[in-house]
Amino acid sequence: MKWISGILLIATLMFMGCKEKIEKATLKLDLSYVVDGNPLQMNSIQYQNAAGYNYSITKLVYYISNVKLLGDGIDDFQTDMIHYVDITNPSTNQITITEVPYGQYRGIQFTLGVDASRNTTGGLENNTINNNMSWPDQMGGGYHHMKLEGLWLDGNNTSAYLMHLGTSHHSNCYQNRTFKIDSESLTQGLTMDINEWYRTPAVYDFATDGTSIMMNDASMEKLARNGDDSFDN
Amino acid sequence: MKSLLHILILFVGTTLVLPSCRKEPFNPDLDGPTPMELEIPPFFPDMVVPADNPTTFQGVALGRRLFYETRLSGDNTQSCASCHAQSHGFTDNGKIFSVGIDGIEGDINSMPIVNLGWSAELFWNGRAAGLEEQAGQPVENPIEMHETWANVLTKLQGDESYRRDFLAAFGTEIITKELATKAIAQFERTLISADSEYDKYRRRQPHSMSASALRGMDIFFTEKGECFHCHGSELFTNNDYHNNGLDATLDSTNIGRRAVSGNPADHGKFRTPTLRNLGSTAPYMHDGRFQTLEEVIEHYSTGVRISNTLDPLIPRSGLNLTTQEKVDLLEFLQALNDPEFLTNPNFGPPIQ
Repeated sequence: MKWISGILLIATLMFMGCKEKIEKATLKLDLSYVVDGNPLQMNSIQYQNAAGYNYSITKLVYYISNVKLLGDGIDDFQTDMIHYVDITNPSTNQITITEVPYGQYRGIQFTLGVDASRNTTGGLENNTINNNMSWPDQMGGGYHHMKLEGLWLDGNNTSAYLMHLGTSHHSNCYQNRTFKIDSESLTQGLTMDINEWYRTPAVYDFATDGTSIMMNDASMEKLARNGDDSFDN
Repeated sequence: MKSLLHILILFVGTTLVLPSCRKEPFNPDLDGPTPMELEIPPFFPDMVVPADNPTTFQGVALGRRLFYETRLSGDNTQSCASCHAQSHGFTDNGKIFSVGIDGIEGDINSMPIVNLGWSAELFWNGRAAGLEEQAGQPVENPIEMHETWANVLTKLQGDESYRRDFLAAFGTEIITKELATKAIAQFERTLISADSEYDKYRRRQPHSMSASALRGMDIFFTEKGECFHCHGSELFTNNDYHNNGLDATLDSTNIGRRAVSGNPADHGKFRTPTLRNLGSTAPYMHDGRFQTLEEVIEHYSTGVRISNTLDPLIPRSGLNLTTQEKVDLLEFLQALNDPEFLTNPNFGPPIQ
């Protein structure tokens, strides 16, 4: 009879375990891009930034790391993921976060770039994508947080801009939104307005702040702070 | 009840023990070709090898044989190596354009075959998705080897030694295009160059990088030279496509990446070649227009031509380097030469 008692004990423990299991879900973040609310069209000088320059976007790649879901009456949910985005590659425009506990959340917070703990040369997985994002040791090492490139009209001249961020100059993005996770999967949209990079808190001016700024800490910092609210719309 | 318990113990025990019994010494006769672990040099990124074409000693040996096999061409005179000579960094012996078996000249410079295991797309316009696909194309190109794969397979199938080599590499004597190109791709993945003076400097080994070369390295890896965005990391290529300002009016026939993507924004963009072994891979650019590295540096310094798709990474008014800066940059580029790679007997014609 002992074996029957044993089985009953195990079954009871399993049942109790099920009762205490916290339900978890998958959260998908769909990334999209606009300029002043209009869907982004690449390779066309059709946008105007806060400094008054007409410009185009030919490339936008960046990292998102350190995603934290801010709990509303529950614990915050912190991830240690790092996600590379090339906006022309649709598969990179979705971030999948698994094992998210059910509950109410009040916001999403993340680093636009590589979080400081990993932003050292060799700090990320050594693959060709991360290699192409490397920030040479000659300029401080680590990785590009972002490469935003294109053309702009400087009077009658067409010029190029390279808005590259690296070293300590990442953006801290926060989006205040309430959402409830109460099923297996939930998708939320995150939209970057590219003109936000040039608008607030300080107008970024290609002519005076520079268009190749990897060795210009002041301009990178100005751009990075403008980027803090690039997703806040 | 005890008997039930015994059965349970026997089942669990057997399940745990059985998998470990499978770990026997590798036997090529039973298990197929011998896996080859490619040695990834320090600082290089991980190489992604297709799951359906693992690298093996037998596959590499066969691929090497096929790479040097002239029977891949219509008149049995040209092999892959004819236009990709090891002594020239696997480019075509200093030629601007290669000449096929019918004496017809191509219209694009032969690309170096070095460190291509890290390239997902091949050719100047990236029309081949991987080495296996690339290896199949020159055979049937009418201005290159001008042969059919059907004929190639007939020739190889009739050779007992090839049947034996395919059996060793792939477990079958039936020779196919798929297996032949897989073997060539396996060989090409072994063509790794990572022993230049720059590499020795990176590995903190004794090196002969001069003070000038070190200054050139700083120009290269900063916005002063703006070389690293396209030619960065250990591969000295980002494997991406760029219009680097060669012409103000873009070629309407050789349109680069646009031929693959169909995107007008890709017109005149070509895949970034590696800079390794530059000292042996002249002439330069997709159309071989520059004979010397001095000309290449001068192009970026003062010769950039503006067109619609000129890459923002290319300074539109040029780098405007001083004479000394040009010398320093050249010294650094020469430090990327790897003589050991150019003479490595494992990469040369197999001894029959």
